[in-house]
Amino acid sequence: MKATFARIMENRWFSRMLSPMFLLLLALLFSLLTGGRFSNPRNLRMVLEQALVVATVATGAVFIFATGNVNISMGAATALIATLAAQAYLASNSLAVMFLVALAAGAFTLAVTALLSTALHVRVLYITVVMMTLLSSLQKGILGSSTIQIPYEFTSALKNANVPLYIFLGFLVFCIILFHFTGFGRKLRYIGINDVCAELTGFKKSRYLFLAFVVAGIGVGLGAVMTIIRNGSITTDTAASLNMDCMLAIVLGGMSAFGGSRSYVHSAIIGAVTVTVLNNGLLMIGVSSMILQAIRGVIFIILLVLSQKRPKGLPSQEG
Amino acid sequence: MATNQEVLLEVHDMVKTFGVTVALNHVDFVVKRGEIRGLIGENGSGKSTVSSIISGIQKPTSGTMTYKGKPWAPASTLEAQDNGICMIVQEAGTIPGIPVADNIFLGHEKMFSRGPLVNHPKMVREAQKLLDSLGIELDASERTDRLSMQQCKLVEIAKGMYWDPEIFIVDETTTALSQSGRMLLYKIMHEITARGKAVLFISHDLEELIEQCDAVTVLRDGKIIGSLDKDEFDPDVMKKMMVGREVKGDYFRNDYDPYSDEVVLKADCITTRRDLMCFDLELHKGEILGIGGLSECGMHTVGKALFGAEKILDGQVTVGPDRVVVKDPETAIRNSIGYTSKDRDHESLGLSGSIRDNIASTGYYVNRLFGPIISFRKEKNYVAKEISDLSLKCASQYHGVNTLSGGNKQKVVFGKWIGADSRILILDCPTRGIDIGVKAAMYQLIYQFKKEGRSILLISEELQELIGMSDRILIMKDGQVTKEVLRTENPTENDLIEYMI
Repeated sequence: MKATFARIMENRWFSRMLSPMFLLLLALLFSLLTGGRFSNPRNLRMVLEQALVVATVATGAVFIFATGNVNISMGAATALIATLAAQAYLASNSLAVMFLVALAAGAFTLAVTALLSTALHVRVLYITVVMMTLLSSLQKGILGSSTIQIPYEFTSALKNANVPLYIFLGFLVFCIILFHFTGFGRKLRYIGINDVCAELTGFKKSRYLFLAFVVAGIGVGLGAVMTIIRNGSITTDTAASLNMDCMLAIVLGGMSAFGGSRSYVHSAIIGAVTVTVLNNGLLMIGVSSMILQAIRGVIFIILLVLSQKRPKGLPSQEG
Repeated sequence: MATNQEVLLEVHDMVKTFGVTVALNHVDFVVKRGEIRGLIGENGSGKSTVSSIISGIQKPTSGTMTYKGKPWAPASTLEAQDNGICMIVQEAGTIPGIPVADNIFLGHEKMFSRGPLVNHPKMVREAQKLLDSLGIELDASERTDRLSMQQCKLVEIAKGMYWDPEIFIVDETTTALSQSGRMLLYKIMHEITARGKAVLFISHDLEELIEQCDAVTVLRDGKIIGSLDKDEFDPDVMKKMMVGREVKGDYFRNDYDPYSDEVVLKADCITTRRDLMCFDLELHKGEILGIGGLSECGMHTVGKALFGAEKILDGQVTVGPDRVVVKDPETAIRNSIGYTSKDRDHESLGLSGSIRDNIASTGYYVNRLFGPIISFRKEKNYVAKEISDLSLKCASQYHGVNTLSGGNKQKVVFGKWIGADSRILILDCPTRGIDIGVKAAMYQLIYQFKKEGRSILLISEELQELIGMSDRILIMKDGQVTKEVLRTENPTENDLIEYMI
C-alpha cells in the first residue's frame, strides 16, 4: 500500500495533473459559493479574456524562470511598452507600427536587463529590482498625469476579431516548440538545474540568458499590445498587478519556482487561468481587494515553500 | 579479543526506503568499544545510509537503535554530537567563506559568548589549540574557501574530534586525503580506540581497511552479508562478499599496446591564474596519459585548462589536426573533448535533474528529428543506450540523480560524454569514491576507449591506478612536471612517489 502510494507520488503524470485538478476544484468551489454566478458563460468568458494577458507574459517568463532566475520587472516593462506602443499608434495610425514598436521595445528592454546582469556579474534578481523602478518611473515620466486614449472603433474591431486570442495562440505554439522541442529549451532547463555544470557542458550562460530574456521580451511586447486592445486606454495604473500575477501563475501552474527540471510552458497558461479565477471568484464572494492581495501573497509563499522541499536523497552538501 | 568487549551501539532491524528504492533492508549490527569497525560494500549498498541514520542526518523508515544501553533516535546531527557520535561525511562538510575556527565550532558559538556577542579571538585560540594537538598544520583564522579539499577534510576531522566522540564515523574520507593526511587520520583513529571508544570506518580501499580495521561488516544491496574479524581478513573473500561473485584480484589492463604519434591535444606554454606557469603537454591519439601528484600540485588545473574551463593568461591549448584553439568549454566540446570534474556533484552533474536531463544534455544536436526539432524517441533511446551499456542501476531514466549512489552518479557523468562520442576524454579522479565493482567496469571502459582510438587524460591521486592504466605518466609538483615515465619502463609506486613530495 505504502509502496504503491510512493510510486504514485513519483509518477511524472501525477504531478503534472495536480495543477489542472486544483484549477477545476477552485472553479467548482466558486460556482457553489456564488450560487452559479461564477460559472455563467459571460463571467467565464471574461475570466478567460482577463487571463490572456497574464498567460502571454507568463509564457515568455517561463524561459527566464527555467534558468533559475526571477524577473520582477515584467509588469513595469509591459506598462512602459504599452505606453510607447499606444503613442506610436496615435502618431502613425498604423497597427503594424504599433506591433513593431511593442515587439522591438519589449525585446530590447529585457535584453538590456540580461546584458546588465551578465556584464556586471550581478544576479538577475537585483538588476530587475532596479529595472522595475526605472521602467515604471520612465512610464510615469512619459505619461505624466494624462491618460492615453486609443480610438474605440480601433480597439473594439480588434477585440471582436479575437485578435488577442490569436496573438496568444501564435505565441504559445512558438514557445511550446521552442521550449519543449528544441535544444534551446533543454539548455535553459539544464542551466536551471546546475549552471556551473551547464557551463562545463558547453552551454554559455551569458548567451542563453540573453536569448531567454529576448523571448520573454517578445511576450512582454505582445502582452502590451493585448493590454492596449483590452483596455483602450493607458494610465499609470496599467498592468499594476501583472508582475505578481505572472509569478503566481508560473508556480500555480505546477512549475518549480526555482526552474530546472520541472519547467513547463503549459504551467503559464494553467496558472494564468487559476490566478484570474482566484481574483475573480474571491471578489465575487465579497472579499475586499486589499485582503485579496494578502491572500495572493500567502498562496505565493506557500507554493515557494512547497517547491523548496528538500529533495529526498543521501546526505550531501546539496541535499 | 573482540568477543568480550562492551557493546556501544546496536542497530536492530533497520529499514530505510527512498520512495520505491530500498536502501536498507532489515539491517542488524553492533559496534563495540575499542574497535575500528569497517563497513564495506559496493556503491548503493547502504553504508552511507546506515551511518547517516546513526549520526542523526536522516531517520530510518523503521527499526531501532540502542546506544550505551538506551534507545537511540537522534533528531539531528547536533543531538548526536552532544551524545558523542560524530560523522565525517563523504562530500564537503565545511562552509566556505568563514574561518576554520567558525567551522569547527559551528552551532556551538554559545561557548564563546559574552552576552549577545561572540568572543571570536577566543574561539580561534581554542581551535588553534585543537589543530595543534591533533598535529594538523593549519591556521585556525584562515577562511575555509582558501583551503584545499584535503585541508577541509582535516578541518572536519578536527571538528569531530573536539567533542571527544564515543563513536567516530569516517565516511569515505580517505579518498580526499593524500598519504600524509591518511597517516594522520589513521593515527587519530587508533588513538580513539585506545581510549575505549569506537570508530566506524567506511572506505572502498580494501587494503586500508585490512590494515586499519579490527573487524569489518559487509553490506550488499541494503542487506548485511556477514562480518569478519581481523584474523579472517582476506581481500578475495571480502571482494566476493561485496560483489556476490568472484572478482579477479587484478583489474587493470595488462597489455603494452602502443599509441599513435599523432598529437590530438596540446598545451603550449600555458599560464593560468594559479598553479601553472608555462606548462606544456601533448596527448596522442589512442593514448592513456596519466597525471599524478599531490592534490595541490596543479594537475586538476591542467584538466580544467585543457577543457577551456580555466582562464589561460598566456600560451594556448590546441586540439585536433587543424590546431583549433580551445578558449572555452563550448569550443572544447565542439572538438570532441569531454571532461569529468573531480567535484562531481557540483561541476559534472545536475543533481536536481533526472538521469535523462543529465545524459541527454550532450545530445541535443545529434538527437534532432529535423531542423532544430528534437526527436523524443531518439533522445529516449540515446539515454537508454547509455543506461544499459553502463549497467546503471535505476528505476527509470526519469529517476532523480540525487538519489543515486556515488558509482551510479559517476556512470551518469560517463554516459554524458560517451553518448556525445567524445574522442578526447579528460577524466579528473574518475574513480573517486567508487567501489571495486564499478571501478573495474570503469577501467575496462577506459581501456576500451583506448582501443577505439580515443585519447584519455587520466588525472588521479591514486598511483596504482595511474601505473595500472597509463601508457605514459607525468608526475607533477608545484605546477611543474617533475618526472615522465613510459608504461614500458614498468614503474613502481616507490619510483614515482619521490618526485611528488
